[in-house]
Amino acid sequence: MKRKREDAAADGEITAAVSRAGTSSSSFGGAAICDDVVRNIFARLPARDAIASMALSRHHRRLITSPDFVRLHCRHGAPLPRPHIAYVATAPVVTHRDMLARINSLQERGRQRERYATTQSRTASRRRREGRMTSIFPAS
Amino acid sequence: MAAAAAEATIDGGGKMIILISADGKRFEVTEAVASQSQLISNMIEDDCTENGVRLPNVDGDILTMVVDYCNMHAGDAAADGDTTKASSTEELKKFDAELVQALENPVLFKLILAANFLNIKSLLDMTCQRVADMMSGKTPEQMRETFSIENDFTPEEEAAIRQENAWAFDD
Repeated sequence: MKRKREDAAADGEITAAVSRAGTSSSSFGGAAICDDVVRNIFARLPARDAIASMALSRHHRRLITSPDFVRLHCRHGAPLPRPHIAYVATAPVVTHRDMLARINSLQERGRQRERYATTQSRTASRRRREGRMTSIFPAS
Repeated sequence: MAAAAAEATIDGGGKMIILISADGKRFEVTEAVASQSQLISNMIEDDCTENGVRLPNVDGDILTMVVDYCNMHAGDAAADGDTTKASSTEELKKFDAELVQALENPVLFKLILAANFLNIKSLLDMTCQRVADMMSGKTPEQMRETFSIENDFTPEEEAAIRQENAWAFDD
């Protein structure tokens, strides 16, 4: 089967093979380059640049978000630069519910503190009025 | 013809293969050189290289480069442990670097296409790496300009992508 195909190729049917390989080609550098090659190129970029090139065009976004590309990048791509922990830290991961819960708990704690403060000052002033400071500062 | 070819094979693997470019230029290379291309290697296996191999989508000047490259690299694929070749690995590296450094963008892409079509892995890797090196550190705008890529996003879509992946865009 394969042999026959190769025979035909020798007689000029190579063009058919080319059009097959390049069915989903994109304009890149002024030449039509098939996706395999484009993927091969982008897989060699550092992760940051690969992600940035999602903004090139719809076609590139599709290529780069595909699982195939991710796998290829794991094989070819340059490793992340040193401070990659910073990227993780700056990513906004707070969900809506998280935020609400945090605000609620803050408010609750604020209220508690207020209550505590008022009872403290109230007892202190009562003690002062009743002249029982000795119990707080015992005589030496 | 067939007898002569057989004799040559006995002489030491010197069977010649003729490559014909799109504009009709003919290149005569040994089997060892040509079989670095997986495409041609398959054709050799299947014995269909008798009348020359026509490559309708590779120009003469690109094929010249490819043949140069294959001639230079014929040794390292054939004999890995050969001590005479080991000394020339640095020369090879230098040759490769000079080959891709000097190329203009359109020629580089034609070379990539040829390497992809002929299925010469080392050449494809090298040229793709060169393009990646040219791209890295560029902003999307600069990439679009250098490689004439058309932006078909609406401004909102592009802004959304930039916001989602802000870490990759701030400079």
